[in-house]
Amino acid sequence: MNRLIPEAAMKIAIGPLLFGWPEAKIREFYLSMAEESDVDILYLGEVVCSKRSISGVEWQLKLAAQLQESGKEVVLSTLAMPTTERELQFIRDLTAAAGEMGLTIEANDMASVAVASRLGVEFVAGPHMNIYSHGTLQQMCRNGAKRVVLPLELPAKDIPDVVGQSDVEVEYFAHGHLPLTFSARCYTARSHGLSKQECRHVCFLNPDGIEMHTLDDHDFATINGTQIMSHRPFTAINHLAELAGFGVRTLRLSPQASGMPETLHHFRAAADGLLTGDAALNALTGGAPAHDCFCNGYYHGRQGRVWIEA
Amino acid sequence: MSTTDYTKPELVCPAGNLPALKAAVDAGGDTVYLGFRNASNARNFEGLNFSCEEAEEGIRYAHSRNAQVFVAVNTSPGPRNAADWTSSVDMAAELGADAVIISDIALLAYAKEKHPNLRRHLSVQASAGNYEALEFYAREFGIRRAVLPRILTLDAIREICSKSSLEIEIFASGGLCVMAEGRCWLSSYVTGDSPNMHGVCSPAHAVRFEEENDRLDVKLDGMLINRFAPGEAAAYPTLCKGRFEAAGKQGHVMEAPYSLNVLEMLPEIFAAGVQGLKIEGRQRNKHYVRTVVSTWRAAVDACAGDPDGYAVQKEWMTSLAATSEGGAHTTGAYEDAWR
Repeated sequence: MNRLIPEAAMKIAIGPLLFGWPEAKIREFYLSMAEESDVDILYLGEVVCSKRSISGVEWQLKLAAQLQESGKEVVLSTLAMPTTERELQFIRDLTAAAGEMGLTIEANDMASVAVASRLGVEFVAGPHMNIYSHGTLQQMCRNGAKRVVLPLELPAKDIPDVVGQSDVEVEYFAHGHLPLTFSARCYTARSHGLSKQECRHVCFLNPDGIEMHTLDDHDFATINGTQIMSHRPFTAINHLAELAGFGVRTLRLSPQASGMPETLHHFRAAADGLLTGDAALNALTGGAPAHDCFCNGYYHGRQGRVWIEA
Repeated sequence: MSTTDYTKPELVCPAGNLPALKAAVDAGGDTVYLGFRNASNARNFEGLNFSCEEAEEGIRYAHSRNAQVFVAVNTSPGPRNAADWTSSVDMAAELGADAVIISDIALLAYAKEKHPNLRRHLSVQASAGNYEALEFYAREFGIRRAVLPRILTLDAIREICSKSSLEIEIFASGGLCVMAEGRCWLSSYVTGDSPNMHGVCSPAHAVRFEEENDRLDVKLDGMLINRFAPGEAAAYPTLCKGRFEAAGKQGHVMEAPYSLNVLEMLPEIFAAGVQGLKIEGRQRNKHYVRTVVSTWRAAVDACAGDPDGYAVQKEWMTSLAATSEGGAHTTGAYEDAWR
């Protein structure tokens, strides 16, 4: 079959689970993803709220070791807003273990960059590291970044300017609810009438978050603990050839409670050129109009919430 | 007799234009912070900020009255126009600013190399909320002070002050950003313009007020973000302080339009060793700046004179309430219960 994308095959990464799930569900999800031949990279680890990591670092490392056996690249993701000593220690422990296991970490805060560079562990600079220019990218690489995920709001056409002549690997957030912001306040606990300290892990009851919409009933956002996400998933499945041309080598799919295997297979087919962008998008929406299902404004340098036809 | 060591922090005051700068200095501000009239600062509002000439006059005015001037160059340099940011740092250095406030690591590296004697402060836009991150910025880029994000408890601030070699500055008063600044894309998600890339949040050009059936609808780029009953006070329509519906309940899902006010915590803040108290409000006029700065001047001096006998004066609260958007106050994330 004629491949539409002549470049080296793009890798597919399963991003860190951003929602709060019970550990059994997390294990089941990642083990099933490890069995998928379409997956190249697995990011494992809590990014949003340290209170969700009930069994601590050991549990995560054990699962990471199991995932490693599948032959996939495993990356240990770290917290985006660590503020307590306990959270910093969690990052130190994970990073030290990553070094011993031959893994990398995903840094989502400068604390992780600091720890990784101190321990000599390579890292992926996650989407919250604010790499908007080539100079910023160079500084991040100088400190040990081997791969970067650029800010979600950066227009795709600007990727080549940011990357320049750097040989750093570029990963693109290609599908999923957009992680838009972080707060000190837990909005999931708040919407259940609870405080963050006494949250009773209510996020485990909402595996795809809680919908927040406007007073005139238009969709807006998804509440995910201390994080606010886009209500509609973003997708760039119909722009993969263009992304390859911009130098993107890895596509990140952000985990959701349902439909991940199907999303993954459509992405693989599109990335391998077995489906055209339009056909892949149509497969993903099940024939429904894309503007009713997804957003992609950020890809085009527009409002993130809108859908722009290609 | 107190056994606690107290640090008397500087009052770091906002100026969106020259009259506001003069008002801040005249009202007793130790330091004024400002930005140039371009996307290089996080308050890139129409009709605000300083030209080179205005900044020069402002710095001369402040220095002649023993006040300092910090220049914020605290958004992210863009992919194709990074020179706009480096030239802003150069201008701050040439004009004799006392410090530059920066968040981006490439710009910090530039400032360190080109202007080693110009103090570098880490902006709140860097979202550095722990001492590991702060020490990294100190070691790599020689920063001297960090402005902490408004998501920390006072306990966390105390710990950072004790473990970090840096001077620590915290927000004390004014508009309350409830998200980790620098890691918030809500504004660009709705309007296309963001603090990181454009220096704006919920920009005025996207705001529309629509009166309908005895109610006032506020829309941001066409999206309904608030609805007011007749006579209800409406503050500036910031996205995260709008009314939405979640889990079957309508209201301020993210945050009510409260202003930050930590007057009641001043002795604890002094004891923590905080070196700068930042007053928000570069978008506000000289009257606001004069009222707020003189109130805080009185409070800080009272606390420094007698920290153990310090009590918040009613007239301080009254004058701050009169100037605040929405009229209501909170100590925000500094107290755990808020979270």
